[in-house]
Amino acid sequence: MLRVSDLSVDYSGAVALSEASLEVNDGEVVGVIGNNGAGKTTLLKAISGTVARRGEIEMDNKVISGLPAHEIPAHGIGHVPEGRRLFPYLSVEDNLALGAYSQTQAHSDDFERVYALFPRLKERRRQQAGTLSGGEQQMAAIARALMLRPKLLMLDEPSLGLAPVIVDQIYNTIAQLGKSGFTILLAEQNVAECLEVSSRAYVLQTGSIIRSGPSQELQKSDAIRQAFLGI
Amino acid sequence: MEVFAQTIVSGLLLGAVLGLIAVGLTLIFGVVDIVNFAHGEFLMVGMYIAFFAWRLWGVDPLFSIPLAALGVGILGVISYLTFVRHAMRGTLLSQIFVTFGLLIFLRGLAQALFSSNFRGVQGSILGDVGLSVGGVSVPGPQLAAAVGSLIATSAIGWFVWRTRMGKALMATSQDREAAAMLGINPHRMFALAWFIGGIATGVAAALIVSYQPVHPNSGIAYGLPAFMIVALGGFGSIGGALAAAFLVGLIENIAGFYLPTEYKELWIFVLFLIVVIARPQGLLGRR
Amino acid sequence: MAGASEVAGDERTVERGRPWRRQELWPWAAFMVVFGLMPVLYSAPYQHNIAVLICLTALMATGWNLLGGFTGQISLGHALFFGVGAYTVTVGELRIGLNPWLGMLLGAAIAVAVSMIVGLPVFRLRGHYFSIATIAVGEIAFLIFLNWQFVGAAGGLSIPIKEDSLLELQFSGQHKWEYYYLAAGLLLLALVATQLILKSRTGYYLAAIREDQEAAASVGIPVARYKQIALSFSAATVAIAGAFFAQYVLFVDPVSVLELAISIQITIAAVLGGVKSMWGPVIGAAVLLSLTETARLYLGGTGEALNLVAYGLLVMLIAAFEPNGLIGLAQRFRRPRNTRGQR
Ligand SMILES: Nc1ncnc2c1ncn2[C@@H]1O[C@H](COP(=O)(O)OP(=O)(O)O)[C@@H](O)[C@H]1O
Ligand SMILES: [Mg+2]
Repeated sequence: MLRVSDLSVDYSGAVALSEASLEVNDGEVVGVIGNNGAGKTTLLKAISGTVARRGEIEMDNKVISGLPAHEIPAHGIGHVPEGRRLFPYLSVEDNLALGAYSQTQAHSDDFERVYALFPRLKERRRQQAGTLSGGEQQMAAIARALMLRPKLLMLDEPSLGLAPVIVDQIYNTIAQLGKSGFTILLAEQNVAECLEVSSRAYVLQTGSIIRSGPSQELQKSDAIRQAFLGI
Repeated sequence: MEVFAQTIVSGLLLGAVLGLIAVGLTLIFGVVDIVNFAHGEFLMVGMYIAFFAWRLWGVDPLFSIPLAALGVGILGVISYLTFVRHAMRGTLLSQIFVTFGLLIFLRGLAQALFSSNFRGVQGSILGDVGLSVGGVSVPGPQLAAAVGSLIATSAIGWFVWRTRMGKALMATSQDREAAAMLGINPHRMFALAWFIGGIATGVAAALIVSYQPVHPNSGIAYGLPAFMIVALGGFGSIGGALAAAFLVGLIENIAGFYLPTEYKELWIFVLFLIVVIARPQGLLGRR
Repeated sequence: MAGASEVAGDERTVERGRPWRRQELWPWAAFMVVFGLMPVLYSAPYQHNIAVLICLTALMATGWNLLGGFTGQISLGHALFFGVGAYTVTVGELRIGLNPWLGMLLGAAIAVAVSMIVGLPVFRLRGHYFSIATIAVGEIAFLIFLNWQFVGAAGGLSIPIKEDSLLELQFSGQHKWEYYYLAAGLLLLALVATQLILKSRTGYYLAAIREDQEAAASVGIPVARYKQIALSFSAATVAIAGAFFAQYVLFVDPVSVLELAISIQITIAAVLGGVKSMWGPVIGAAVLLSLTETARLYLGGTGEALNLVAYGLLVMLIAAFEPNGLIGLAQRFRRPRNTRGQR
């Protein structure tokens, strides 16, 4: 579905991502793991066009690497950015409605679908998004991206800054989405959780992909365990 | 008591018009992150449009509202497309001076085309109309301007909070990048903000031209308070701008009456400094 | 972003304390030649007026630029200091018979004092807020002077005409080149002072503040103090220009020295010439006033308006496409290929 080759990004001279290549196939949940500053966010932003990038990105065999950010969603990529990035002064419902902005028409059953996935959001739909709790905001951010009916859902550190109980909830939802056939690219520092829900993963270190493989294998790898799991 | 009521009424009438002008300004700032220092000159352009519609074709300013609105709206879009768009990527200095350049340009153009003479609309429909309630007099043109401004402000409010495109505009002002990730074209939103900001100003211009003479510098009297209002209300906050506009209208009239009149405009700037220094995000601002 | 300021800092550190390089000397030589030749260039009667105004505009823009360009605090209320200088000289002469040169110094001192009162509140603000707050400060001064009888209110004050003398800073005659040489001398002084500041540690601090105040503070630079130092220097310089201006036209009123338009004029020469260089304001002033005068000469009243149109356009063009002003433009022609990246 998604094919990335030799993708590079630099921020005014400093290299943040260097010739990264990866692939995500239909129905897969693929992880990208790496420490803080490894380049995970940069990788996802390069795919969604919110940073200037070099290299090639193909989505369903169409080259999208030349497109500006606002033309990417039409190709079926939904990006849940790091830090949720809801529109804080708009209601939850308006946030969700804007998620469907790239659709020619908003489907009313899409609301029902995401509300079924996150019942909390339905209760809070009239509330300003900025007043939600961190966990609720993460749910709303995922829900907003789902409104776009993405073929590929990219999640950037969905567990960041959340209480363990909430993290579990979020990850249950992600697992559930994966099982129901969604294609997901998941960037995480929380390596344990990420490898748990993903089938394959890439390991990023200082801007380069240094390893990749089935998540189960990576879970067992001593190097990974030492580097990320502190064991 | 009557006098006090009169100052309150005058303050509210002025506040409503300032509110419309300031809402246009704050909308542009909120979305585009640029203070349109030429906003008063946009008003001046709108006033000339309405004036000449009356002068050349005998159209009463009340009926040339759409024309002035469209004219200034287009001026906004052109300003954005030609220069502002490029300055946005530059330094703070570029961002400030691009609209200062526009200010100088528009004033010069008005002076070159129409000279520095004061021109006024005579015998407008509302010219002789007026209300007098319990000793408080409300001149027709001012009342129409206030009511018209409130209607226009509400229409803008309806647009930005109730329509899909308006919500996309608000989303862009709150988080440009996140909005782009949903497929909202930021450049289109920037142009839209300038268009609506221009429309608001054009409507206000056609409304006030029935009682305010127009000349190349006629924008300052409204433009300068509008900057203070927008900062007072919190840059980008529509509700804040509206509240601050009424506050400024009231203070100017009340202070003008109870304190030496010649200093009546002074208090706005003093109030502005006090508020902004105590609360840099403005009265209702949230940045 | 610590990175940004470190980069800027390095640049400065390299420059600081180094002996003068040739490239740094030739602008001074060019300045001497051009300003020395000015009386020949503008030799007709009354043309000295342009030359004097070029010097005064360059002087105030140089003052403004230390704060606006080099420290990144974009003030739009500097007419306040221009007015303080102009009024101090005038009121001093009229009320207590103060010598104009002493009046000029007193004006600069008062401007520094005023700048400290003003700086306290406005420096708490950043970016657009700072600029709009400085507009408010300028307008407050304008409205106060407009109604203050002691200083002549809206009608203004005239300085009594005296015998020609250097001591009294008055010269009549058709050419009045004395004014020019004195104004050029003041400008030279201001430029030397600016250069010394920029080459000192202060200049390095100011650049750090311009790049990123938080980062500057985090490496221990006393940001508030240095912003105030820049403002004080700036205020004093602009006040001296104001004092000289009052003495030159022998008249002062709020519209000619305190209006927002004056504040804009003070900044425009710097922006036009280029704020990154101390020569920007000088070049900007020369170009601006030459254009203005030529337009006035050939086109009269319409010329004035068309001149505004032209220089409004010029300012927009600069802001949108060449933030380093005419100097940046010139460099672009010298190094046609990679100037964009080097901005
Ligand atoms: N806007 C930016 N400007 C400059 N450098 C940045 C910017 N964003 C990220 N970086 C740098 O790029 C590298 C990768 O960052 P990021 O992609 O955010 O990593 P991660 O998401 O894995 O924590 C880091 O060294 C970071 O400091
Ligand atoms: Mg990250």
